[in-house]
Amino acid sequence: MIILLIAFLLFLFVYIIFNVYAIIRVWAMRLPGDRTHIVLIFYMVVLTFVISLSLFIISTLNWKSNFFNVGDLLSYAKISF
Amino acid sequence: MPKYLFKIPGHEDQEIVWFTRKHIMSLLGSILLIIFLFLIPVAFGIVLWYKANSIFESNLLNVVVILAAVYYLVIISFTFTIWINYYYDVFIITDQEIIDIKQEGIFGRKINEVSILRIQDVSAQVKGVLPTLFNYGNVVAESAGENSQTYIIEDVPNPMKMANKIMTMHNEQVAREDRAFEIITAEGDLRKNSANGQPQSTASFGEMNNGSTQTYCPPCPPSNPVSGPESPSNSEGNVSKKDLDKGGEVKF
Repeated sequence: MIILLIAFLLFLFVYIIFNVYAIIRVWAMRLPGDRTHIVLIFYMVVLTFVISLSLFIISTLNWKSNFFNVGDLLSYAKISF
Repeated sequence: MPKYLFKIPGHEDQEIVWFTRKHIMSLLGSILLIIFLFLIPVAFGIVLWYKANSIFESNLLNVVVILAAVYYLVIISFTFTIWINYYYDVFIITDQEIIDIKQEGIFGRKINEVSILRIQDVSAQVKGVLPTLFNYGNVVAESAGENSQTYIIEDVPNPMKMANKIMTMHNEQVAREDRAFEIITAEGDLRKNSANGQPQSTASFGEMNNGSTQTYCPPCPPSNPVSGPESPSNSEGNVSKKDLDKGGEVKF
């Protein structure tokens, strides 16, 4: 399960770098008097919120167990359906 | 007239007469798609909550949380890209040119320019219920000359007014440049009328070959007449009507 967490953190790292570059590009494209700065601020706030929320939820979960626990999966499936 | 400073290299001195984006209603499909994409995981989560509640108490919850986080981050970026495409997809008419700037994602931009003087025909298309209701549609501009190009400016507000404005500006520029009677030949250049008011047309390849300028004179017989309908095809390129009636391969 820890592999999944590392993969997510790597994704997050690449995603943040990509977004920083995208925001710099968009900032350079701005037109005088446009509303880009408002949208960029809103975008960054939403991204920060989603990333923070996901990290908060992730921090409350148990990541020490195995990723492929087939027996558990089957038992959950039997109980649920 | 609106003043708008849009920095395109080589256009700093031009006065912007018209500046527009696509009509906001053209985004309706994208907005509905984004709402749908945002709601899918919520609906999926509600179904799981009622049908397979044990998942939320298992290790699968970790996977669900990670997938949901990645999914929403991607969707938020997708929404941002759609907005960038809309906001920076602009259409500008300056006092000399029509500039169509197409934003292709965050990292792509395509700029088409055509001189207003080269515009030959402009038409407006309003098709469909929403475009009719909200008065938006396409403006189709065709440039003159052999390398004629068609420019389609999509989903702009007031397309009729814009098409009319382009043609008015074209006519004004033609009148201002005193080129009302000139003909734009395939590769020819434009020249002002002669002193006696007679229009002139110049053929660039004629000038290159002979060094002389051909005078445009529609009633005059051509200097190198094409062979008549009954004359035999005695040279390459000239085909008589008789030979054409026979069919088959025509030798040029």
